[in-house]
Amino acid sequence: MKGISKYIWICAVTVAMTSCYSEDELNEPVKEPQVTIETELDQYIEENFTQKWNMAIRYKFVDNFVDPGERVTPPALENVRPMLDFIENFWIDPYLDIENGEDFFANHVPPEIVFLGGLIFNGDGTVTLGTADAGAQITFTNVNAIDPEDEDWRSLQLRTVYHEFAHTVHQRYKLPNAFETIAAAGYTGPGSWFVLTDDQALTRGFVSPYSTSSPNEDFAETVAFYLYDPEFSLNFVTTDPDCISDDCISENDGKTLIDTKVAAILDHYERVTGVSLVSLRAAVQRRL
Amino acid sequence: MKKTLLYLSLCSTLLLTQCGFDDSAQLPSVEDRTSEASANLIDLLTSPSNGWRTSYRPNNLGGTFLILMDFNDDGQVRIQSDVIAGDQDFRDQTITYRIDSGQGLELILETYGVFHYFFEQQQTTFGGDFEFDFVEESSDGTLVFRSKSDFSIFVLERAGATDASLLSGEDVGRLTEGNFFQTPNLISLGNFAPYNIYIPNDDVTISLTLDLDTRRIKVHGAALGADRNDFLNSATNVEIDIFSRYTIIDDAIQPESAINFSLAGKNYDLSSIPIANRGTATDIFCGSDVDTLVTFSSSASFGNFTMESNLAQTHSSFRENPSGAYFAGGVFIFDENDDFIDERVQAIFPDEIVAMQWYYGFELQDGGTLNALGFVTLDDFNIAKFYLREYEIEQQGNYFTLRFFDNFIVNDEPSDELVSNFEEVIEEIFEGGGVYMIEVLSSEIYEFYNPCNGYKGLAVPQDFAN
Repeated sequence: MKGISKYIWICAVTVAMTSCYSEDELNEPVKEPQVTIETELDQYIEENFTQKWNMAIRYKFVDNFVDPGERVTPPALENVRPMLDFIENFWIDPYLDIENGEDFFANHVPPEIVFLGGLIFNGDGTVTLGTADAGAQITFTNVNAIDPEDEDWRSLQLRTVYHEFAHTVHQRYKLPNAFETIAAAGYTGPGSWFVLTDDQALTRGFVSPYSTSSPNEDFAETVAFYLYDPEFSLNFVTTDPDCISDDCISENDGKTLIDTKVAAILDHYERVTGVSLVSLRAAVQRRL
Repeated sequence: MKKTLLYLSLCSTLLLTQCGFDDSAQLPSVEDRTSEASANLIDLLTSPSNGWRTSYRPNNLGGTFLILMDFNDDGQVRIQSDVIAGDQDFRDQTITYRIDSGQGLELILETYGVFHYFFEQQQTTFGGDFEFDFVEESSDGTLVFRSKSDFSIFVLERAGATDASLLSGEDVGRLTEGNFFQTPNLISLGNFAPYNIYIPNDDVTISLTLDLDTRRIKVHGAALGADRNDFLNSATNVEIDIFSRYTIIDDAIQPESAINFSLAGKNYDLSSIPIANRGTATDIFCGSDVDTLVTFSSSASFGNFTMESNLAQTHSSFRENPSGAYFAGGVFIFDENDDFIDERVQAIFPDEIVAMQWYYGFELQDGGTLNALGFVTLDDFNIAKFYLREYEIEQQGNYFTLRFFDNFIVNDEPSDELVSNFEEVIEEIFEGGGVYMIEVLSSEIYEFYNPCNGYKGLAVPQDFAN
């Protein structure tokens, strides 16, 4: 009798488990909208982004666009079209202006662009300004504060998009040869970069504290700063020939390292993508 | 062995039978059932001819917001409210929505509107939401949802044909103009505005503060007199100190709790405070600088009245703190341009952590009382140093005059330069000699505002800071 019970128990459990799997589908999220609308805005996105660049623009809230614990809001409808104009003008069009730029953009553009209305509030009380997901998605934050004339807002968006887009280059073609050795002693780490000030990062040979977190982030940050900062040379490259103080000498040393990295990046882009970052920077700066 | 094989065989048969008994043979597919359930909810949402209404309470600390929602079957919903926040006007918006099916049916408000505004307040800790799980359709026809983030219940009732007329207009939205003294840097702590109601027939001024984000009202007190000097010095006064959540219906602030008091033999009931006829007035709180005040004029059960935004209030709950100090970290003091002055304070005490410390009525061990104000610093070895300047204080309503003495209380041997710089920054903050203390309702702390130079900062009770 014991034997029978044992087999029946095994059998019953097996049946129960087998039965459960078919029901699991009921609990799987269905995130695609059940109500689809074809507004003028959606048609514009379809024609100018989805069909043209194979780029989906996500402006309606979907919770899995951000990590669990991140608290975000979607943009207001009236801000979506101006934001589309902004990324066309300041991100896409500069590539169209330069040799090989259109091909590069078309072949490297992430398939998904997400607009968020505000910043990303994290569970630990911190705020994330911008984010991207391994070349597959770029997220623009603070879209509801859109003001292309506001230098702070514009810099946030351009830094985000050029930083994240630069990641696609090293992900596909690796970093410039020996890039990580140029300022090797200056790297911190993902958990400690934020203790540095901007000045401390500069003396280490980095454009920002975040760029010290890894060679990949260093690459992306340097590209972004190079493209959007009108005073890049003055801020990060031009050394003071009349240095006397230790601070000034340290700053000069840091700028020299950044200059070396910029040269390596420019050469790398030219060789592996055919795109001249010098020309791209000029195209971006013409629009600011 | 034969028995074992028999049992296994039986078991397999059972298994196969179970697997072969596919629900899908009798039920529509999961996708079809999900789609049907979603369509049914959309039908429910779009069915009322006047749409739905809700008294939305983002969190239990605050009051409610009347909101009307009219769903269309094209994925758009018109949302009407009485919320105006700065340059954001949420009185009439059309946004998109969808019904998702996750753990159940979910109503997602997809693009930014008033619910998202609530969600963002106080760095997204305010309690609003824009994702709701559908719970049920009640027997009375209401639709019950549950917030996905804090699980609070959200109920939609069928709206009446005239409910839109209950939504308050632009006058109510402009109540926020009464916070002219408040730095935008404090906005995450609430949107608070002090007002005085003046009843000319009784020559009575009633002081109150509104938190416009959380919809809470605190009535501080009342006194005879129309002018600031009159009501601040009137011997006929009453401290009321009643606090309530409120809603705004039909252009009137309606406290949820009773607010009654008596003054000069007359009873007053503030169960409804109409807001209408917005205008402006001017006042001079210090020197010759003219401040523009917002006014509202109307009639209520307590008589004809004018409600005016005003720094001066008949009473204040800012009191002596016998057991501790009030703190204001350097980062919470701002100049007339709303810029932090922390760098200037920090420059006086390089390499040390600095916080402003305000002792008011602090009981000393020898039985004496300490009134002193200054800074406490902490060095790398966690050694605290105090740099305090004693003062005498005089209170009129919520205006506190501070007269500093020349003597310092220090547990250090500061340089003459440090003392001089310290003296200078204290005199800069309190230039003119006095500050208005305004209660920040959402945080049980105070903002001090210097009308002479526009400097402002937070005074946080030590108990709160701990």
